Amino acid sequence: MASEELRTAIPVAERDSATPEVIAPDAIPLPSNRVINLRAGTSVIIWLIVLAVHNLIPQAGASFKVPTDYLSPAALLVLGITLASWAAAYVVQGRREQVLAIYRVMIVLGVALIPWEVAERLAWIKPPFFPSASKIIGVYIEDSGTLLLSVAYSLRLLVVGYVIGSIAGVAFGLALGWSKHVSNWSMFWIRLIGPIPATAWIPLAIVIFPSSFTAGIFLIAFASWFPVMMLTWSGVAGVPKALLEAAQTLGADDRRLLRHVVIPAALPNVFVGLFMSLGTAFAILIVAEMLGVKAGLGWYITWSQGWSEYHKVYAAMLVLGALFIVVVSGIFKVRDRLLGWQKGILRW
Amino acid sequence: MVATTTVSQSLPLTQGSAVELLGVSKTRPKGDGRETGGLVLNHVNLRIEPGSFVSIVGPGGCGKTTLLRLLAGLEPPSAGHVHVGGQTVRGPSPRRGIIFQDANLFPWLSVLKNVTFGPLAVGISPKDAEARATHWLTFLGLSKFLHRYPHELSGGMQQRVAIARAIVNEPDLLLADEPFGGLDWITREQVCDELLRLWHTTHKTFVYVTHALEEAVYISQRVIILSARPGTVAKIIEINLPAQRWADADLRFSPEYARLVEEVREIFAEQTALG
Repeated sequence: MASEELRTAIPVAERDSATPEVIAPDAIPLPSNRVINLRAGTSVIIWLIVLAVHNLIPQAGASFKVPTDYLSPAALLVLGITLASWAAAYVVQGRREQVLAIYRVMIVLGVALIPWEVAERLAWIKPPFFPSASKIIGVYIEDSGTLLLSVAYSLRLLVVGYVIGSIAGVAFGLALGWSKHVSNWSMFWIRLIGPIPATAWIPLAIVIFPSSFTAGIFLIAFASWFPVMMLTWSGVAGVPKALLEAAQTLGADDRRLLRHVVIPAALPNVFVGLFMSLGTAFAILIVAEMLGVKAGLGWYITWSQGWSEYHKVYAAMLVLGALFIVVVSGIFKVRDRLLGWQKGILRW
Repeated sequence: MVATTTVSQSLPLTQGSAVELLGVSKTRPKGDGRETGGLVLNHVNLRIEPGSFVSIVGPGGCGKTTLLRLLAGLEPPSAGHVHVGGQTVRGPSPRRGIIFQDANLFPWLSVLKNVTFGPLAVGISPKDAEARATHWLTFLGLSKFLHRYPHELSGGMQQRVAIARAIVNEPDLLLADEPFGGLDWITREQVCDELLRLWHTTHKTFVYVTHALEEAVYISQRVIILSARPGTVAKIIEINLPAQRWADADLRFSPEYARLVEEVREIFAEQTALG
């Protein structure tokens, strides 16, 4: 009875504003001074140890020429970054989480470097297979031109192949999910051909395509096509029937249904496919470049191996990892733009 | 009720559609994911006057929802004819709006965009679509939430957005399938009143499926009681309560209301026992 009266007394609009029904995310407290000081201090101490180990332990074993020391400047740079971000943590308090993230990386890197340097100084590990950290850092300075060019060539091959494969994957996936005829007729063939590893196509691709570059594009496109198609397909198949019915009763024709209901509803799945296929695409990229393409990181790795320059192999591998991070965060940026509505429901 | 007056000024007071079911039966194949196959609706004959508010109640599984889906054109009848506004129903149409059990909003669209979806689909200009959507959302007390996403809203608010989305195309027939089942009682009564006000301002035909007998009596002019499965019309009860029921806070406590609820309950119990 009381609620009856209350309800009729307050107009609708005011009732809504009176009860905050919208869910706001909880604010995360900033890291305390103590945590910042502890992490920064640890990082400084560890990197001082790295410097000490590197410079104070005499190099065991005969060495005809003393190689340029790149580790000391690098360690000093890390110390500089640590101190600068320590100061930054107090100036810009809102950035403390990022500062801590930097420290975590620095600390782990330093801790790993110490035994490596000890082993290297005492000549427990043998070059060229296990080079010193200094030599690997040196590659980025001495061979930066070739390395950059390799990155550019690899990116070109990867992007062209991946984009073609992804577009084909989305198109096939939509057709399969949308039309029973298409899926009935092609199901068998997709099951048969899809799972063939892209590497198995190499002998054929080399013969069919006019250049190793186009063959590489085909292999990468093929490798990314299959996962994107399967995930898009399952995304379309998983669109809630109720949403389709709601759209139909609102007057949507097939075109609008596809463009405004099916595609947005399937998009989260499409991005899972895009992410998964990127890993495969990277693997195929390196294989393709190792086999025939005359430029790129894969070629750089094989070439360096041929000259027994293993420090360059390590350097290129790290670049490859960094490249993957860059490409993935690019895809994630696009995803966050398109799937902003999903935030809070699903996080990767 | 300031909003009410503005709405009635802006809307042409056209009557809703008449609904006619002639010997409608519906059979489902076995293993359809539903309880059992077989006959769901058995030779239903029913006429719903244009502009009236009718509730459909009946024992569980009697085909209430199926009946509504036939009216919406989401499923074809196995036998008989379904006419709405003098025309045979041959598929979903924006002339027949439906509010589902779940709000079923498009999660990737804001509240406003969810409601403009319908007008845009029937070819109304984006500017007009937005004006209409804003109008109905304001009427339903959601003017502050136009740019929120559905998952940011409570169940009651989502269901109100669903009402706005169904009504914004100004359908001649509005169908509702236990739309407030998931809401708590206070919210449920509120949204019910809003639906009732909406009906009163638009003069469209409303068909409301529910399993809450009191709600059926409270909200409609006629309550249609279906028999147990396979469903057929068992009894129709006229509800002679004042039209503007939301204005009378004591209505739910009046003897007439209690008598009507009791009458519906008795017939309902009879039908359940028979099934």
